[in-house]
Amino acid sequence: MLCREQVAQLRDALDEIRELGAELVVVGNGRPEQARQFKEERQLDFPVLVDPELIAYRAAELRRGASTFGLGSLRGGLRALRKGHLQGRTQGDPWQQGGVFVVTPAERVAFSYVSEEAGDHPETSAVLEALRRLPSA
Amino acid sequence: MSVASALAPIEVLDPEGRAVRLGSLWKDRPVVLTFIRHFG
Repeated sequence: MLCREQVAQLRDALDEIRELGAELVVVGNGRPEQARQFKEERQLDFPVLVDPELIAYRAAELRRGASTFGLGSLRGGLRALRKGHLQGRTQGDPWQQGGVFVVTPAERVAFSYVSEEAGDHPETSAVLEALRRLPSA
Repeated sequence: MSVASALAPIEVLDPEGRAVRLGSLWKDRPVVLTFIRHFG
């Protein structure tokens, strides 16, 4: 339920992200056919890519560990449930955590957030604020 | 080296299985690069 909620939040912010001159890109932990299904089911019109060997996850120094089911995760799960995001069957490596980066053409990281556990996502408003602060925006 | 420079040369796959260099995504505009835990 947690990733669905995160993607739903980001999709809601997509217009604003694009108005700020940026694009949303999702990288998942899985296989291309899972990305295709994910995109089609949710009718996502931004790039959805996969990193089956987790090479980019490692380069981004994202966490991989047993904190998946911590208290914060439980709270996030309840919040997601209240909002009606039911979890589908988990696919890919269940221990891999996520993160969000705003990367500029100059390869500057204007925002970064490394998730500690499932359901630990940055506020969408913080991502948008980072985009607004970019010199070109 | 920044995380962005480390990520730039890495290739990921699009839904059709074609390789996409991460750096190509932010060549022309900023990108909100979101790594999700899993699909599902």
